[in-house]
Amino acid sequence: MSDSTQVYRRVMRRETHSPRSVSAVIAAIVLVLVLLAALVGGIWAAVDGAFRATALKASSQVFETLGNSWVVAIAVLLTVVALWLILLAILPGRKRRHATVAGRVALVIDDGVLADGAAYRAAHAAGVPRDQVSATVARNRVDVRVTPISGVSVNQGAVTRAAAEEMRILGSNMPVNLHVEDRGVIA
Amino acid sequence: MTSTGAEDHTQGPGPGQTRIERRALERLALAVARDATGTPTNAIAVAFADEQGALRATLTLPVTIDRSGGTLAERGEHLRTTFLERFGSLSGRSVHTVDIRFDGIRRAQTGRVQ
Repeated sequence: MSDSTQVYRRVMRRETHSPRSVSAVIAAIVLVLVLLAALVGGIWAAVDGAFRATALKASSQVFETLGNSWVVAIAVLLTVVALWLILLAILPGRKRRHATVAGRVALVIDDGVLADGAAYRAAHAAGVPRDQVSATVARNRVDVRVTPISGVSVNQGAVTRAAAEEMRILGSNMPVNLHVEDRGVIA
Repeated sequence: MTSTGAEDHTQGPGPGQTRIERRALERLALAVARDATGTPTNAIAVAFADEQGALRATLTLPVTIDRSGGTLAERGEHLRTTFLERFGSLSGRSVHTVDIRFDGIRRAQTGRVQ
C-alpha cells in the first residue's frame, strides 16, 4: 500500500508539474560539446605552438568581422538564455492542475474544471445566471466572484458552502473565497 | 461520491432556471404604475438603476387630476407605496428607492368606466 502511495505521489507530481528533462538534456549536450571543444583545443594549443598562433588570430579576426554591436547582441542573447535556464531550474513549474487520491484512483483535474464546477454550484446557490459568476483556482484557494441581481440579496454563507461542497465532490478541500460585487446587474 | 454530485442539480421540481429579463421588469413596472394611477402605459417611462446591489426605479409620468383630491405629493406617496409593495412582491426584487417625476398633468376622463 505504502508502495502504491509513493507511486501515486510521483505520478501526481509528474502530472502537475511541467517536465524539465528536455531543457536539461539540451543544456547538458551543449555543455558537453563546449567543454569537449575547450579540452581538445586547449590540449592541442598547449602541444602545438603553430596552432595556438592561428587560433588566436582566427578568434580576434572573428571579433573584428562581427563588430561590437553583434558581439553585444550575442552576449545579451546568451544572458537571456542563462536567465531562462536558471528560472527553469528554480521555479516549481506548476501546471494548472490539481491532483488528488480518491480510493484506489489518483485523480488529476484541470483547474478550469474545478473552477467551472465551483462557479456552476455558486451560481445555482446564489440564484444568478451562470454568466454572472466567475471562478479562478489558485494553488490552494478558489476565488468565486458573484455579480448579484439588483434587488436580490446573495446568501453568502450558502454560496460559499455550495462551492466548497462542489470542491469536496471533486476531491479537493480547497477553501472558497467568495466576493460579491457591489454593483448588481438589472435582470 | 457520485450520488452527492447528482442530488443538488435537481433541487426543487426540476432542473432549470427562471430568468427575468430587464425588459420584463420594465413592462411590469409600467403595468404596476398604470394600475396605481390610471395613467396609460404609453405616458409612463420607467428606468432602473443599481444602487449598491439594490434596485432603484425612476418613474416619469404625468400626474392625474381627478375628483378624489389630494395634493401632488400625496399622489406621489401613494404611487410609491403601491409600487414598492406590488412590484416587489411580483418580481421578487426588493426595490430600495422609487423616484417619481411628474412631468405633466393629465385630466381623468370624466364618465370613464373603471
